[in-house]
Amino acid sequence: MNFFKSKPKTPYELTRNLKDAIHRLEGPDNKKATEDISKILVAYKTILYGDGESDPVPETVAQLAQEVYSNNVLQLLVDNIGKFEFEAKKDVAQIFNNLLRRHIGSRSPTIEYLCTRDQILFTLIRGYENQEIALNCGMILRECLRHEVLTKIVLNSPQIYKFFDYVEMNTFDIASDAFATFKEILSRHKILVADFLERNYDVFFEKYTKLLQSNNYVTKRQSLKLLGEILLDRANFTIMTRYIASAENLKLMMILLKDRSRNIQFEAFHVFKVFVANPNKNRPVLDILTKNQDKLIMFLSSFHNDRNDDEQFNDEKAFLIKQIQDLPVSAA
Amino acid sequence: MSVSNQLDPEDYYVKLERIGKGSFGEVFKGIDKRTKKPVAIKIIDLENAEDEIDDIQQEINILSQLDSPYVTRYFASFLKGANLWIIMEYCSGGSCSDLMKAAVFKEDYIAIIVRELLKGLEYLHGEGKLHRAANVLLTTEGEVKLADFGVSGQLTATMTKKNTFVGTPFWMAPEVIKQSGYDNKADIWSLGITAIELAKGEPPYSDMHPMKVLFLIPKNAPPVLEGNYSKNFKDFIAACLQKDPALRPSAKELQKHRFIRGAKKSSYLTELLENHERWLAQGGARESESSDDEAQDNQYVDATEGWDFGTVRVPTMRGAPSNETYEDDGSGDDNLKLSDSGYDTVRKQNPRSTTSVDKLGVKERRERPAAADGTRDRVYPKFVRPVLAKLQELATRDCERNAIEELRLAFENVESEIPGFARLFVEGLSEQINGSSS
Repeated sequence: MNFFKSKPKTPYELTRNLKDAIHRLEGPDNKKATEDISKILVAYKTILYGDGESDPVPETVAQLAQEVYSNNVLQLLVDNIGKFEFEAKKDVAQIFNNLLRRHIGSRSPTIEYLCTRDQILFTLIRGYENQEIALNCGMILRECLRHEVLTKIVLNSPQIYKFFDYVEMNTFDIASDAFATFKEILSRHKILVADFLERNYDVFFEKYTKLLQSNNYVTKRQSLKLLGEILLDRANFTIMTRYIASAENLKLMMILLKDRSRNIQFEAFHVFKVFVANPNKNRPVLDILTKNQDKLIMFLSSFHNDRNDDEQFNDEKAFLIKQIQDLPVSAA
Repeated sequence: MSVSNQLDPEDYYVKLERIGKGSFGEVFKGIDKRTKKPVAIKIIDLENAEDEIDDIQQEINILSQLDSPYVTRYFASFLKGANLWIIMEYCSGGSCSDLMKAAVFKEDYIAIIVRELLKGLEYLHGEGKLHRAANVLLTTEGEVKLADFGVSGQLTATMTKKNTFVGTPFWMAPEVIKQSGYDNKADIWSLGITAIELAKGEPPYSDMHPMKVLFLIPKNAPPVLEGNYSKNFKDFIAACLQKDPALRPSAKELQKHRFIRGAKKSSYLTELLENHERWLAQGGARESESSDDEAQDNQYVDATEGWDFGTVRVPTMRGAPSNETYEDDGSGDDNLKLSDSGYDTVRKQNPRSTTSVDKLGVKERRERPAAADGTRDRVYPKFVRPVLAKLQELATRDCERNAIEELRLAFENVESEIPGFARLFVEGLSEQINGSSS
């Protein structure tokens, strides 16, 4: 028992000190301010997670959450995270994410709060533009996006299109983190995403096609894989139908089937197959397929023949060859 | 934002000689053109990597959030065509396993190394990460750094997809092998084994078939350090190697152990580097090179040489589920525990993820001990085969029968490769069941 240990500060005191320290960041003694912030954030974390010996006290957690909401602390933190110390940046993510998961009965107060402050989400998205904080922001963002209402805010804003730039950033770590977030947005809340894609089909796929043609190996491969997943998702049936009605899209997939990278070829196969399997092919699509009937049969017959342990792939390939063989004879 | 503005790592780093090779690719020494300082460059060919790119990305994400003097530092990563360059801290002193070739370490040195490893583990555990890989590097100043968790570990775990590797479970804690859930304390066990290795040159059971060791570790009493060592050292090992993880002290607590408290400054470790250099000068490396092709390469040994816990399980912090847990790959207890509807469980399992051994994902360490010793074990024909036949009769559909048939063939295959496997399997199973019901 340590009798000399000072009494821990209350959530009220901590929050007041935090705001004060954040103000001082612009002042002459900003080094002291960043140190103070780091300490306060550790104290926040201890309240929320416990200190390893004792569990968090629900009343204190509730008080802290209340202070955080009423003082706009989350916004302050994400606005200034770039000036924090390395560990403090990580602590912001932990604190944020802990609060996000907080619920009282069926209510999630932090989610409700964020719904009224969409700027916080947008600030987090912009975090990808700053190398120092990109990954911290990405981590918080993905935690937010688990919640449908928050994903909806992002999807309903033009900010979503920023990801097309972020996933191509020249820093590999950031680009791939942005891609992970992008994928999360497009995969988790199926109905929401299907609705978004239907309403914004043209804009979205015009940009998406650029990713598929990227010079960046990872962008190309990952976006192609995600495309396959999106199209084959049941919820996106309408989008798939529209996608496979385009001869241009078919051409792109046929080009990607011959990409230098075997992995890209393989991912392209999984999109290409949908065009061929479509029972209601339109004229332009049909034309391309019939024009290339012999070539396609030959190509597919020798396509990734070493994948003999992948039964599903081989079944699908055989099915495609059969379908192409059975195409009406080319008019040309 | 244009697509052509990808940074070329060769604008920033000069790639020098290769210093290591592993399942993940190659490691080179390099020089940072801006600071003129040496770096380690890991190059992974993404096109031929067994892993999903997402997994590699996630590992890098974790690496980039670590910042400790006891852990090799991550600097940056770049994409060059389909090659991923991962720039890490370069440790000029080499790896412990490398230095050990000159001679096993004296207890004094071991105490220092172990103290530094404990600091590294304390940091990682505080971050909610497990170490998993047993590669320990030294700098010229004698600093000790944990290396090779993260990317290479991840890649190692996937080696099993090919099923070509059976493993080195030597460093694995019993609970890791049993897959009954584990946490930080698994690293403490592994540290105890590493300490024995540093003293003896080999971890316990290293002369045995790795598959057999998988069963021996959970079954036998923990290894003990025998020989001419101090009581403190022996006691330290005993504290780490307790079968009940809850009884093992944490990395923080172990730093207060007498064995550790008595350890000297890290700078004493430079003597190890000197010894090694002297040994090299006397032609010491030549001998081992002839016996082991990869000897010159193992400054950055493949983590498969170390321990590997298969999947990263990020322990959750108190009060809330961690936000960055990896998807459980289903290798939890379900695979081994029998439920009352045991038959149903068998049927539902994905054939690719049935065996726990498959998940352990470790590489063949040394030449296998001669497989057949002439005596055929009777457990397979007497017990396993009839059970499989009976289950097959119960199956109603063809695909079910085929699946069981595959299992039978797999059993026969492993039994011919490792005579007595069925016995080990059944023994392990019954122990598992008895253990979980008590």
